[in-house]
Amino acid sequence: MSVLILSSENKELENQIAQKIAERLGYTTLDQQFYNEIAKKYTLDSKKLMDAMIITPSFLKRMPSKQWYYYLSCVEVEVLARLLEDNCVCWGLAAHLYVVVISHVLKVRLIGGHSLMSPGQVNMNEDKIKKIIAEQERSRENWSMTAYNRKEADPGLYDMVINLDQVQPDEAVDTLSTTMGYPRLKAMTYSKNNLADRALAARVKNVLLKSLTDIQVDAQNGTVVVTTASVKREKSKKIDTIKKIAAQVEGIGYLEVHWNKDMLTEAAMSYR
Amino acid sequence: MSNLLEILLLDDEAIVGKRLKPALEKMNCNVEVFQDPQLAVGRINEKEFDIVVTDIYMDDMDGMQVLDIVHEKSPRTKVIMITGYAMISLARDAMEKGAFDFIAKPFKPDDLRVVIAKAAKALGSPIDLNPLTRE
Repeated sequence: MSVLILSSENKELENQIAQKIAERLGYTTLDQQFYNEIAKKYTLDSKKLMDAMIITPSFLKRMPSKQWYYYLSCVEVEVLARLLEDNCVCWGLAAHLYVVVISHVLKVRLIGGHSLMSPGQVNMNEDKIKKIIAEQERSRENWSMTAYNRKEADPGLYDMVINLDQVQPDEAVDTLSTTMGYPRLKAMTYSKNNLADRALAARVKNVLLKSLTDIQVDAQNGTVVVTTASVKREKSKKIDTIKKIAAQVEGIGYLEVHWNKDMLTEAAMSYR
Repeated sequence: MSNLLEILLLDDEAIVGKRLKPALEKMNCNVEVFQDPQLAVGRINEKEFDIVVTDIYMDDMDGMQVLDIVHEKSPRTKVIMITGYAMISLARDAMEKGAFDFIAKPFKPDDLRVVIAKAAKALGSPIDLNPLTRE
């Protein structure tokens, strides 16, 4: 009863390895095909949803910040709900950035392996490949920092990093399939509760982001803490709105709203 | 089930035993409560328990040592670890050493009852979670 989350800039190899592990262990898979299901459930444009997982908010790209955070939140809610079911291999959904500190989830970063890419890409000269990879890494780092304040390539985010320039994909499949059977990755009450808390926090954030901005949500043992900011004169109104909207979400034991003064807006208003 | 499920509960905070003992006794369990790990280990050496529930951080001996002693004496006994200092590394270490489950404090007595019921099932002696509600 455990979950494997893979992350890699080499999507082709990541896909092959993930599929093989899932097949060998008899686990379900959760990958980018899930975007269509999410888009349908939330009546979102699936192309825009996929774009949101690649680009950062930009008016030029017709992706305003509010919409972008909401799209990300929809993905988070649905992925976490699926991961609660256990025995799953998940990749391509940025789960490594929002599924943190869950002991029955093994998070693995796959690096390198670009020489093993499909023939069309291998025909490029080495410098060009390096340049493309460096650009992709920069872009992903920018995205992951903006979305979750975490650097995607940071090894500290993962339990294991596998260099596919040194380890063959089939060896990686063997290693990871064996590792998933380790008793230390068994689901337990503590880890299941942690994951359930993350899923609850994600659901609360999602309903709030439909109409509000500047929302952070955390949950522990069913107690949900929403942190927000606004100008002082809107404090009561914002707290009441949050309480009213969040009450729609099932599973909240107790709700607390922490309010901070929005200093920037406050300062801007004082100059008017 | 006709036989009582034998449970040893070890926690250096008296309030834990005081709260959990009645909750578990409602499930047709015989519960012995200890605050001193040395005394608990002495009892484990005398008697084979079905389930041991132990805190992890205690003064004289930690729960990981208790887990080792229990498994050496009785491999079939299910050990449930409870702690107020839950961390991912500690949780994984406990499972690696063969703990049946790991629960972070604070928890409700009902949370432990659910885990005890799972352990009883794994021992081949399923118990009714709500015996009083089923007449």
